[in-house]
Amino acid sequence: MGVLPRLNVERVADYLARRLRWYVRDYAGKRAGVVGVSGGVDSAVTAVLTARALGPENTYLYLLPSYSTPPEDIEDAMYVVEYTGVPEENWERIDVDPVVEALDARLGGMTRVERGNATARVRMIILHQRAYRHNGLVIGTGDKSELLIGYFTKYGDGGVDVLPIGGLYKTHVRELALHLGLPERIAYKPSSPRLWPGQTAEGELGVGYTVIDQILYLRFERMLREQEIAARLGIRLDTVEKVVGLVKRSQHKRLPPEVFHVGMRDLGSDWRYPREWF
Amino acid sequence: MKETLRVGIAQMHSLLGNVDKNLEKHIVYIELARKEKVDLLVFPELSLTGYLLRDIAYEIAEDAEEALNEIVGRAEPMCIVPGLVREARTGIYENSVAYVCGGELHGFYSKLYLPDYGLFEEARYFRAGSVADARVHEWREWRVGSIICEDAWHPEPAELISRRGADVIVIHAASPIRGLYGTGDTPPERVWEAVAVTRAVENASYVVFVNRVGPENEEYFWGGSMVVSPEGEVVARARKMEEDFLVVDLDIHSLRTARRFSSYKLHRGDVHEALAELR
Repeated sequence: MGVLPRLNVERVADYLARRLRWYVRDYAGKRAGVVGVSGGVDSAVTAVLTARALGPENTYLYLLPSYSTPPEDIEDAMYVVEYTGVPEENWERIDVDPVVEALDARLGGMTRVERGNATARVRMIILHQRAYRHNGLVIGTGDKSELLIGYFTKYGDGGVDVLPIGGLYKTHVRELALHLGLPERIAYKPSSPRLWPGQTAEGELGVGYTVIDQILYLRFERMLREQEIAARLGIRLDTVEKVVGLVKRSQHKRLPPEVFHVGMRDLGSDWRYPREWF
Repeated sequence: MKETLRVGIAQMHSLLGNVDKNLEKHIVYIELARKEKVDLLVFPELSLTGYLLRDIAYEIAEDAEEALNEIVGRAEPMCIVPGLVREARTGIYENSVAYVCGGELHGFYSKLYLPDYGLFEEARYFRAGSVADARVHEWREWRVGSIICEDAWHPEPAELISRRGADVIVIHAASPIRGLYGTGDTPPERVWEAVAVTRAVENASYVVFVNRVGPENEEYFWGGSMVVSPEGEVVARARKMEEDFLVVDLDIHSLRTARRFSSYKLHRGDVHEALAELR
């Protein structure tokens, strides 16, 4: 944990389920929640919270593996399906490779990263189709760490209706996972989008979430200067600068696309209507 | 003075910008309060309109005024204090509560301290109220005054209505939850309880803290409304995180005892004069 305060897991579990129920039922007027389950900790926690919020009968879980999904992830995703207690007709495995390969053929070959992003976007399309069919919302699985450093595919795993664990750092998601009764192998599984074989978050980012989360907390919740963060954590300044740089460069991924203002009042800074607008 | 004043606390979830639905809910609580023979029924800050209105704040005052007129028209045998956006002058809006007592509109109080830090944007949309409107309303021989949320984080608004004669200080609030870390209460819950107790003790008066509950945009109001006795004891608590309705009898003896054994009777106007010179 380091400098990161512990999560009040009991209250947070209740709070998130309460909010999710209201958001889906009262705000959106929908019945169900749809979650893509990867076998990782974020989607496991999101699936359990969704089942708590809406009931297992109104929770739909989708395993969307590709060639780069390791078998243990599929096993862990199946564990989550069973653990949430969703009925047999509420879960499905849909392999995404045929769709991605069709795209690859039509587009004349994609690079590894292009293919990875396409895979994330194909999953997004599938989840939204199923959500529409079941009168539901796509419940996103992004956590605060990933959202802040922009470690997600725009309109891929970022293309969701609501982000119930978007206020939790990865470290906190792991704490909540244990509180929700998920096994340690899922709670502490090294984070990875699995968009290509062997891809891990730490390998790609060059720094682990334990450190990233402390940097994010000190920089954006406690608003400390970068030199002070490096000193407090006993890490190099360039590590802090790198993480903060990721946050700044990915701002476009967290905001709606920019509209160039022409009229007296356009979308953006002077269009300040709330999300709830009944 | 009547021995007791029965207070009803409607810890409600308002729907942002949906005055019709919010009025319906007010009426449910009013009817409940009538059955319970409540003397004073208080609602949270901006209860008729919702809180995080942003640009809807410009467009909602007319609906809120109509809703208030409906409450007045019901001529209920109690004092009802809802919160609303009020167009104080053409195109100028205030964050107000209305006193509707025995079917008559006794007046408005508008928030003096408009927060504009963190998530708050009130100073962008509202004009701050006037200290002249910080009045005391007499009802069933008890004297009641209101302040709104941020007002309570400064000692003076509560002191003002107290020195003008209030025995009951109502704090209408919309406090969102923050910092669900560690164990036990969050920072806003801890601090609000300390503030409510402090305002009660320093004014040797009852404090009725009525908070919003439920979601609004990204925020979630935590409820936890409470009544603090003039001796600083939390004598009633509403549930947290969900709607609740509290009925509490305030007792004149508690007021008397607290005032006998406190320095409330001392008031140093010169301290305020010195404060007035400072920034």
